[in-house]
Amino acid sequence: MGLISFGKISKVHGLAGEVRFFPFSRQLDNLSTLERIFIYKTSGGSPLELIISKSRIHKNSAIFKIQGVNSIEDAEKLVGSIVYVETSDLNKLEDDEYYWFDLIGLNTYTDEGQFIGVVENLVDRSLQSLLVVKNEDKEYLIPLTEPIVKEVDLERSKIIISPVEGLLE
Amino acid sequence: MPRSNKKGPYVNEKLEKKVQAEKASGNPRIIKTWSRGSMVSPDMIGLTFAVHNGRKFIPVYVTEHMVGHKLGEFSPTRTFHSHAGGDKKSKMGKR
Repeated sequence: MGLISFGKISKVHGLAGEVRFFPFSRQLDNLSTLERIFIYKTSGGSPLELIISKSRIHKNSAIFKIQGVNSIEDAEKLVGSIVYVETSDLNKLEDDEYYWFDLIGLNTYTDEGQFIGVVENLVDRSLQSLLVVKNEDKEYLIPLTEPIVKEVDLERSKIIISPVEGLLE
Repeated sequence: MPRSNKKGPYVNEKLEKKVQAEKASGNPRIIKTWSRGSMVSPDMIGLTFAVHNGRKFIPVYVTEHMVGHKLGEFSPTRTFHSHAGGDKKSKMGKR
């Protein structure tokens, strides 16, 4: 699939080469099942794969023990690195749940076939998320909820909505 | 401070009229409102409101989980900028 930025190694933990990792999403669901991460040593270079030999959740972060990193000196070299993960390594979601990186970039159409724009971002709210759909002229906010969003087709990069009158004004 | 039970829930009078009119029309339009303090009543389920947050209107599709809350709760006035990327996820809302 591809790599996505996932979090940052913030500092070393202890003397045995462990590092503390903060996820950008502040969600800890994927941390305990993750077996490998990627970092870029140089910008534009190819990613370096690191195998996680041990991990545990600590408050709102995780402590990783990375294979081959056995001293505080080696661990210090990783501090500040942005961590990337393979999207296929993330947990599978339920049918009505979507990762934001899957939704961003999808083309949005009405059920009558009219192109509205491309999903640029999402706004997270407790009961209802909003899709931020932009075209050249305008930005629209569309609630990610069933009667309005009819279909999310990830394979064809398409979202079909049935807007109530006035939503696209 | 909760509103007294004796007084009952507050719903802006004009908003209530609009809700009744849109429900009666059979093909409801989005209802624009500045009344962030109005409580979501069961009559509003299935309607879409555009609730003003001081800068723009935020669309809110009312579901049964929202009943008893105030409309303003679903139209945040401050933007939280988090780091882009990560494994953020959203659930599709249900009717």
